[in-house]
Amino acid sequence: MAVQSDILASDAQQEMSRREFLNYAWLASLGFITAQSAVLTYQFAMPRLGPGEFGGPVDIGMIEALPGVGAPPEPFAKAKFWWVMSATGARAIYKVCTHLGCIYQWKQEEFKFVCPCHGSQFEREGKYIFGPAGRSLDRLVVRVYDSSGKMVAETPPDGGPVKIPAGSRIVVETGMKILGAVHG
Amino acid sequence: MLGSNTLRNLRSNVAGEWQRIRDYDWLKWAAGVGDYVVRGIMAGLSAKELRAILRGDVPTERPNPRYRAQVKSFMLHLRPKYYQRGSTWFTHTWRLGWFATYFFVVETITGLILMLFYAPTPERAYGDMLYILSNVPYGKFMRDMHRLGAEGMVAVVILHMVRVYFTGSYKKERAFTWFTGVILLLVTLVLSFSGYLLPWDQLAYWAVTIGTSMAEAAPGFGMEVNLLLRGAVDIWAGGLLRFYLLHIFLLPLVAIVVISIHYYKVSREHSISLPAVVEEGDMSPEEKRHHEERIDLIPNLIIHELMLTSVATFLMVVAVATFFSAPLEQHADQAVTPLHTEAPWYFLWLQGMLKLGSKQLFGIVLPTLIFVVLFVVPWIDRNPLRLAKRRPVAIGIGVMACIIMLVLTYMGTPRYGIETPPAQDILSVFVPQTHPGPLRELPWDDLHTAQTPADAADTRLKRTYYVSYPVGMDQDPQYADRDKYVFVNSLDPADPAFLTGLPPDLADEPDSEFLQLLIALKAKVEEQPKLIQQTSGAPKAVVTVEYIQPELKWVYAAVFWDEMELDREKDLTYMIPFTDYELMPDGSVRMDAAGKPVQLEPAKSKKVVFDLEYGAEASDGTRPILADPRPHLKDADGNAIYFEADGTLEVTDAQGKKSTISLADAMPNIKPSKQEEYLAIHRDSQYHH
Repeated sequence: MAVQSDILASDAQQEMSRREFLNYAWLASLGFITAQSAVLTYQFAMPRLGPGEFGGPVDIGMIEALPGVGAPPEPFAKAKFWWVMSATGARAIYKVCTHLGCIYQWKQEEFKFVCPCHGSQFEREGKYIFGPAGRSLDRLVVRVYDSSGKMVAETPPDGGPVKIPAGSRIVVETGMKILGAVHG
Repeated sequence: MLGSNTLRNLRSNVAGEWQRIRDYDWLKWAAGVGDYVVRGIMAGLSAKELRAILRGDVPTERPNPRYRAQVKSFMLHLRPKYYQRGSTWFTHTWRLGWFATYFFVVETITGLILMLFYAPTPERAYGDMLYILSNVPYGKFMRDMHRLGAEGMVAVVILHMVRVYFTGSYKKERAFTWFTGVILLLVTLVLSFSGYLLPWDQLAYWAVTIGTSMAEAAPGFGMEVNLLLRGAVDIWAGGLLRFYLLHIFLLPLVAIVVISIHYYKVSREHSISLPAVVEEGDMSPEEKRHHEERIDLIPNLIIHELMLTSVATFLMVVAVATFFSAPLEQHADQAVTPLHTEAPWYFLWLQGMLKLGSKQLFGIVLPTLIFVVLFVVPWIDRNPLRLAKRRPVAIGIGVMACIIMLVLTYMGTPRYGIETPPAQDILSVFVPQTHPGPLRELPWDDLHTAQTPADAADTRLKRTYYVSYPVGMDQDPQYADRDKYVFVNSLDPADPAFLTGLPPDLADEPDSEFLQLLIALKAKVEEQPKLIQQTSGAPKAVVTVEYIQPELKWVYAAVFWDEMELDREKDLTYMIPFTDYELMPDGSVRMDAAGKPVQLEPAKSKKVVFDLEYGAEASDGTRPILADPRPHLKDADGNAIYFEADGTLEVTDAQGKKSTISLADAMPNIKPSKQEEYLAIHRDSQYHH
């Protein structure tokens, strides 16, 4: 023990030599560049999502051309949502089941969305009915633009319906997902 | 003359040389060259020595050239020079670590060969799979070997860990080795899973979608991990390339590095553990000495491994040649998730846990916790003893963990806890979407179609099998042609009635697998109480087989039934003929801002719900109804519009016209429903076992 504490003591007393300092400097610079390249690699590997494709804003046209109240939900394959129009307003419901990412389907006869993987079921407006999913279906933000190109309404932060005046152009922000309500 | 002398001398010289060449011991020379070459390649071991090794004889030279070879040869220096006898007991290790390495080598070889014909792009991947399976000589063999090796490697690695746990071989100086072993377990699982996507079929696509979705549940970095793995929001070209690179490059590289670290510890630091009975059991000193004796790697264990390699390879080839066949489903389809998407068997426990509750807790937190605990097992278990009876708690926990894992695995299968509509369930057995299924495993000729064309204009051969049908339908003259309409009229193929109902080509083989399948389908449809015979008189289950092209048949299977609509409290709902407009609580029609009546969504219209109030559950499990049911309609906000006591309700329609609707007109809300599946069967796409 005495020897050991001697070594410790002598270590503490020793001043840093030029060689030691330089070696720390090499190590530190290598560590720094490693950390930098980790960040670079992360940014390099991250997918980029532009407008028009999923992840960016998707223009789905004029409201008149979209299914109205009472029509079955309309799937938009590329932009990955169901267009659901109710008396209270419109919703863009994200196509992917909130359980494990399967693609659920609309069952017109049963009048609900049913997921084939684990059997979760949701109402037409996306509300959870039954099954292992932990929350109601996610919504994408719907933005309503008037003829002059000014945004007049958008999906409220709670993901509720948005009222759409006639003659509006509809853009769905596929990168802005509002998570469905967790049920008790 | 000078010239003749020279010639004479030359002749005798040539003769002398020739004699010398003939007398020379060429055999010895060749043996010497051969020996030089063999020693050069085999790290100083002579051919004679090699033979002695294969015979299990003692070394032919001194000092022992085998030890010298282990110093000079790179491959041999990886191995220890000797083991203690006890640590080589077969029932102690079951050679599981060795088998893991063996499978890793098999995967590397077969994987490299498969790569020759595979390109990881959505456009090509699936086509390349078909090409490998059908056009590349031994392509299917290589793929099946690769798949079998992958499953084998996962199984063996898991069993290896279980073995090390139960023999207590992770203690003291072996703690870090255990730690690297758990890393290898993870690497093996991910390696296997990353290869799962590459066939680019439905099974692969959705199993991996579900797998990566679990990462999404991780708070904070889940989304980022998912994006990095998938290369986009969902798996497509980017994701396939990333999984491919993980599978063929990054993960094998990590595996090789960690295997090296893992094995270096075994080889150089602590060797394979002795069985606990030898180390601390009641053994006489002589016995103990015997089991602790050194056994040289060369020759005893090397030739044992030679035998294991041959036997394991033989068994794999036999399995692939007889019963083992890696499945390939339809092309991946982003828009359609197949019913009963199942994880690979080694992740079923995770799928089982996910059925228990929240994705965060059971998909991320608990699995992470399980692996954290696995990593630190040697530091949790401070008991230095290894005999099972001296570590009852550890053994108990281990047994419990194994049982829990098995139960969770069962719970992960689609058989547990998933409620699917019965018709879909029945058809998914008949025409499954995630594996070949019975129809595709039938011999091509067993799928009997009609012998004569439907009519002169349509030359296709089509036969309809009425599997379950209303009484009397088979007597209908419309369906009298037994060549085109076959009625499965009994569940017993030996039934004479069954035989007389069959066309000649089928009556010859009443026990054919196809008929067995139809009978099984009939039994399933008819024993399912929810499949109610349609009031329209349609058959309940129909299968048609149509001969489309010389190499192509279409099979169509459908189940028809009347669905009774139940509301959420499982009460039957009733319909009343009524308007399609939304009502106000006072019975008038709701108008929108523009003064137009608001139309109802189709399924919400005309529906009367008997709203029952239940009391507490009685001892026999039933719940008494407290109040009289109060029939009502619902307005847009879900408020009840109650009927009067006499069962009527006055409503106003959009034109302001008043009318009365009556409960007496209510009819059970029954909808004709059907579930159908198509299957195109190509002669070459049949699965033969």
